[in-house]
Amino acid sequence: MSEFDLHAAWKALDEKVKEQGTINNALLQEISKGKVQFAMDRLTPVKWFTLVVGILWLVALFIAGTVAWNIQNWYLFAAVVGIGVPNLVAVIIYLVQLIWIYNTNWQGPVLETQQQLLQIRTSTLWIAKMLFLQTPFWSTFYWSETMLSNAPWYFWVVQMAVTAFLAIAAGWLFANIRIENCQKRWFKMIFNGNEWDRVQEALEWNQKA
Amino acid sequence: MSTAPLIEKEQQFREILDQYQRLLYKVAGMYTGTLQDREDLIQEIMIQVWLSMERYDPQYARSTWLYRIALNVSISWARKHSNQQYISENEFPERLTENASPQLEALEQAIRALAPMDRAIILLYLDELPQAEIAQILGMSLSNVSTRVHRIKAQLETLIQKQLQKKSHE
Repeated sequence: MSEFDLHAAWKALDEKVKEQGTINNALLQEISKGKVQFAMDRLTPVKWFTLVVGILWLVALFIAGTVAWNIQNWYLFAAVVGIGVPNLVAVIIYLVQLIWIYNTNWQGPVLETQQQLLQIRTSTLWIAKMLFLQTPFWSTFYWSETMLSNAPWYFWVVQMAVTAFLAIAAGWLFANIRIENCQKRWFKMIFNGNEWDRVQEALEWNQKA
Repeated sequence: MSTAPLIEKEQQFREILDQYQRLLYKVAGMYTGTLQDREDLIQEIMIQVWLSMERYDPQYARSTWLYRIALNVSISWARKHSNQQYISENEFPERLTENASPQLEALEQAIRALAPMDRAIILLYLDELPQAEIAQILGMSLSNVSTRVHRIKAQLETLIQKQLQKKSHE
């Protein structure tokens, strides 16, 4: 097909569009009156909910940390800090994501805006990285002085094996949850869910575009 | 916002949509597969146009501004719906070129087969926008636009030929 034909066909398509499309007047009125729900990103309500749950969880951890400090249970205190810090960072990333979503410049150059949108999606990976970091502390929060002096040696063998495994896994995941690994099987197994699927779609799409 | 500016905004909004509705239909049509999706996408573009009106920068042509919004919303839509499955053969695709010539149908199908950003480039090129304006809309360098237009045109022509051959064998 020559260039002339291409343009001619496009003009014919333009005529077809003219026949088919008239903007619905009622819809136009509803939009201008603000009656249509803003639906640009369906993730946002989920993120607001997660943010509220995250903040409540941080409050609970703060209370647990204060109690642990007051009763001088340093094992519990260390675990609360180890769990609380990654959760705090995750909540902050969530908040930043929400700010990015609301500040997306839809009238900006297409490439720039799409990169911005991709950045929003991929920042979710950082949330996962942070949350994995807390896992070793879930195997230590119940330690106590009494346990240290009374528990049998085999308890500590099992305990140390579990904690070491969780610490190595958390470190490995922190280092390896990266865009470059998004096609690997373990990555897809971890990120198997609605929101995570969207991240993968965004990454795959960006590679195609 | 008091009533007077709102009425003025409403009027401007209507004028923009009256003037550029074909642009919206064409862009939305290239990124959706069904009539329902096209209507939904046009609605999302319209909402975004309404929300962006106060931030319109007059240094850009109105059409440049509108193309940017329409393409950004449409590409984002295409990304979100990239894994969408259509229920039956009859449902996909409800084409813009329904009952049109085979050449026109082939063109539409070939454009749909392109990557989303390539689709945006060829759409602007076929709308006869100067390459400098295409570069401004997409945020690319002029040389990059020029190279990509050549490559996409060649790809499009191959795809159209394939489509036409397929149709002639049916």
